[in-house]
Amino acid sequence: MPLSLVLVWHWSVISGLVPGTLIAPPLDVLTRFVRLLADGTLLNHAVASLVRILCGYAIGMTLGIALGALIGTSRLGSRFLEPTALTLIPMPAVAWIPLLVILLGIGETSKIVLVAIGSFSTLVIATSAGVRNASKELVEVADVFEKSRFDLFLHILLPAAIPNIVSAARVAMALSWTLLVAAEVIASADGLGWLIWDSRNFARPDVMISGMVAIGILGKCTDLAIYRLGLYLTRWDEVYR
Amino acid sequence: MTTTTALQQPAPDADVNVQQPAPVLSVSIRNKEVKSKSHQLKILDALTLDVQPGKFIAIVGPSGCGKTSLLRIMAGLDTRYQGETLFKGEQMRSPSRHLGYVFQEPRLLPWMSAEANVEFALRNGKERKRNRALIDTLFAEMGLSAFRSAWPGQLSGGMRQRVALARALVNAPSALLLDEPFGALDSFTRQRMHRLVEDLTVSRGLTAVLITHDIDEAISLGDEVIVLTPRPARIKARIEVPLPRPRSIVAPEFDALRRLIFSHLHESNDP
Repeated sequence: MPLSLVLVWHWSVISGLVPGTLIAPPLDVLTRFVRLLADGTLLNHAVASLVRILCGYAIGMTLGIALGALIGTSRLGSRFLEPTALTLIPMPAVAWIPLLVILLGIGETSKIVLVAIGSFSTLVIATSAGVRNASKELVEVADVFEKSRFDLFLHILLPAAIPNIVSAARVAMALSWTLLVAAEVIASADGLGWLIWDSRNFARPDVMISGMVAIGILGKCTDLAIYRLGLYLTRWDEVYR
Repeated sequence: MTTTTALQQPAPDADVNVQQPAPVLSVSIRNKEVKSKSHQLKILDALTLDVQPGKFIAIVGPSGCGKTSLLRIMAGLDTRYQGETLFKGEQMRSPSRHLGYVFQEPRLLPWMSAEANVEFALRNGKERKRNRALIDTLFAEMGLSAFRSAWPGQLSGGMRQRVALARALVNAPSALLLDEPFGALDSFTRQRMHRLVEDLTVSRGLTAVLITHDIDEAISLGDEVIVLTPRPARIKARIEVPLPRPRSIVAPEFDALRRLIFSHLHESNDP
């Protein structure tokens, strides 16, 4: 399947169906990709993007899990924080971009915050739902052994939410890449998103597609890493895989 | 020398002069109802029960009569009733870890190894360290020494229930409350669990209350069998089981008791 897609791509450019000035054929992209990799350009942009995405993702995950846990476990949290959270969260994260650029400028902060907002929103809902999903029967086990509220949270409510958190973490990572590329396209001086937009402006389809390929590869790697980590964290779960 | 012997093994008539020891658990219920919007259901009627130390009490009753509700009240898991429960003379308002509770289902935490599940019952790391030897003994007694690091999902139903039993015992509780814990097991595994529970309670002189709908189970394990009426439950009969342990379910005395309990249950079924 992937091979036939590449063949269709190659054929449509070679046959002139799509003008070669707009789209580069696969072989050109491959040579360009190798060159960009060799001269370090691709690496520099990839590092810039990765730093932003990992910082934002880590911040968003941490705060999202914390707030979700608070909403899911405490009555005060669900009464005061949940209505506000549930109003703000459904708003598409890209809608924050103009505001963030005004408030924080076009530097690193605005991009990191944008990625964080995306991950945060995803994790708040998943964590609060997961914590609430913990079975009453296991909560009673904690009661019977007079466990503290903290122990109840750490050993029963949070682990019960882990499968939810793990799948939300994958969604959040995919969303993070979307948001980062969008932010880099709009306002940036480096990063893979900036690279593809800049090379479009300078009519370099081979560079542009190389950048897309790089984003695809990195996206796959981060997803795989989170998936593997998730499998490890839920290794106790006897389910059909 | 003779005095020591006398102290260790009091003559059978010794406790005639001695005052009855204070009960470990003493429950006195006037009424227990569950209310929903549409209706109100009376589960337990007036019911009084003292559990003497070292006694194994088995409670049987028709299904849905309120057996589990009664045990939950005794454990402090349910406080919405009229009446009172005293645990070592003090009013129970919430569960105590000095009462070992085994649920109908094993209720192990699936994300913890068998050993971590047992240790979960202990208060903190210090207690865990102090009770290392007890944990080792319990796993050995349960025949689970090789499965300490297994996830609950990898264990069979009988093994899981044994882990749950170890978890209930690790705090060295004053009494063990068993809510029909062998109901889901096959009859062979159940028999082995009976021997195990008998060893654990009789050898430790541990007080126990067992809820069951299995008459043979009640006679096999109980020093006394208490028969409840259909809902709302009252005590229908209290039957002493004077048989020596381990008890054979095919002995004629066993069968006589079985018939007696069955007739009580049957009688109470048609008012």
